[in-house]
Amino acid sequence: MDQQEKEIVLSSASNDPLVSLAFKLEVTPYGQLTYLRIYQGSIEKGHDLVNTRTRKRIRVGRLVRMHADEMEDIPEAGAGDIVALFGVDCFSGDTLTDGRLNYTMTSIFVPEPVIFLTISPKDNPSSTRMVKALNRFVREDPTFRSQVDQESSQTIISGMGELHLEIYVERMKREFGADVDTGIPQVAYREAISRRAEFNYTHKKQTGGAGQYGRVAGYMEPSGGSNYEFINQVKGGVIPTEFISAVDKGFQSCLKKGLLIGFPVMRLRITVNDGQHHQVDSSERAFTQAAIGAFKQAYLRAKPVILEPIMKVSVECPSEFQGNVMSSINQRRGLIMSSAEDGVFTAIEADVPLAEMFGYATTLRSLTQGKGEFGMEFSRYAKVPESTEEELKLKYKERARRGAA
Amino acid sequence: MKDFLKVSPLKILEGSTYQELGRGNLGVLMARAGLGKTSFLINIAFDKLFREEKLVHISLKDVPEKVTSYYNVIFSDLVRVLNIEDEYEVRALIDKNRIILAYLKESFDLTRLRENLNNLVKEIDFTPDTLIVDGLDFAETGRELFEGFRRIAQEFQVEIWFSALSHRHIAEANERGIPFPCNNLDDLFSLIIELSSTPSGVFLELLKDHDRERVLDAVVRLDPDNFLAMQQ
Repeated sequence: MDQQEKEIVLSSASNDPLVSLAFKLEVTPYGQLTYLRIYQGSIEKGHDLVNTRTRKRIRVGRLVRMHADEMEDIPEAGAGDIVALFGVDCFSGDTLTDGRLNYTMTSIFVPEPVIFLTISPKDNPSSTRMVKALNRFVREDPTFRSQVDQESSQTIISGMGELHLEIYVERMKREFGADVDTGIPQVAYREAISRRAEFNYTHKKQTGGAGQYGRVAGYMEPSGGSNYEFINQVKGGVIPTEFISAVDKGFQSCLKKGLLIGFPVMRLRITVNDGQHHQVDSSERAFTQAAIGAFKQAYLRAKPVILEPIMKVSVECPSEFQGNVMSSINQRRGLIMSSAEDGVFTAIEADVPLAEMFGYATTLRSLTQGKGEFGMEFSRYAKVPESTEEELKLKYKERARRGAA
Repeated sequence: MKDFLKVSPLKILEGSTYQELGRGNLGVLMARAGLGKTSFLINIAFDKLFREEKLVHISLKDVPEKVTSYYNVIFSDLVRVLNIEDEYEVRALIDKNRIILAYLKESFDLTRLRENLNNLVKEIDFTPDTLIVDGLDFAETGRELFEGFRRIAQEFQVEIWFSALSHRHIAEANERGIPFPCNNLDDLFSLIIELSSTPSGVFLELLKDHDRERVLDAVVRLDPDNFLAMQQ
């Protein structure tokens, strides 16, 4: 971390400085159990560890080796060992060292959540338990997120699928005794622009008190792969260097809520190539506001579209039901990619919009006499059909109208 | 994708009777082991897909993931060679118009294929124009199976392309010059193409052209790196 995130090869020698990865957390009757893999160096009971992310020191109290559900207390462990520690405050994916190195292991790829739902506790005791449970789950599973919506004050949980969230709701009840009401699962749509649009916006407030002045000009366009890119092509200091990051910050703040249906914006490239400042009235705040104004000015002209999560769905069923299953996927706007059979069973792979997959487990059961099963994982975001786009826009307008009323 | 058509290995058919295999007919590529039969078949598939035709790739040995990865590798080469700019749109077009059917553990039979094709047509409105059959062992396959394929080609009005493995040590050929293993089946195939490698390059040669008695001297040289026809 001190060498601009340079890649380093670890030695796997037990006498070198420690580098280990916390890869799994588990709640036990004795507290949080953290599973750790040691890549270099060794851990001894009673010694201190440092969490690279938080820089906090942790004392190794109890060090155990796991044998299924049985634990064996051990005094030390070396490179290559998988061990578990009690009472360590960390998240899945954190790197723990002995403090001599400031290394971090490459983090695992965490996809963005594709589905969310609102939850609310049924009674007062459940409220505290729900918060406790959510804190625990967020630590355990980086694909599970929890947040409180500032506008509605509702708790929203999000994750990788209907079943993923159902399991956490069930765990809240079973492990933490928290009874919660859940809303209808919602798809995490995204917005993205489809063409280039220019902006030239001046933020000006020079009447009474300290003035504000900043002009930002350039264009926005769809970016190929990345979610957000900011390109600074300002020449001659028309926007002073110290304000460029404020401009970037202004644009980034707009990504959280698009202007089309209020969902986050992705695949956006902003190029700023001109602007203007005022010797006295320009400030970081003025340029942040100018960037927000510029975004609003250009965004709708850049023809934004709505994107929906597409899931890679894999269905296995007896071959006699292949036709029924294909038909059910087709009815869900799915695209069949392949079908493989081995004489008895057929495995069908398809790309299907997540919005169409709610309740598919029940449909599949009835189509295949209970003999079919399916799994799905996030594949990519793709443009929604025009009819869905209109429907979502209407819903957004309705929500905005009610919010304003 | 007009650029692809200039380098498509199906350029070999430019001087042939109908310049195509045609619906209801069977075509085969013969080559020795390791020369690139699958690559050739996939290039035929791209020729069809880029014409926005619908295609079913039937694999009798590889799982769909492996077939997809063959397509991806060859498509990446095409993106580079042909400077394809709208890569994602072309990829979406390919995904939309191609379905892979794999029959593993010797589960293939014509009844299942017919059922599967009927399912595609009736259940998801996918009417194929071409079938590509990869992994069929010609030496071990009886004549009846190819007669069955011919009936399927006529019933579904598709053209079907196969690949056949020829052997250096079997010099057998029929009186029309068609070598093993197609020497006893050539009446069922409308087009027979041979892929061969010599010190001067990789070549395609047309051995049978529909009902034409004397086949024109059609030879196309292929780029050994990507199996695309080299521009003259």
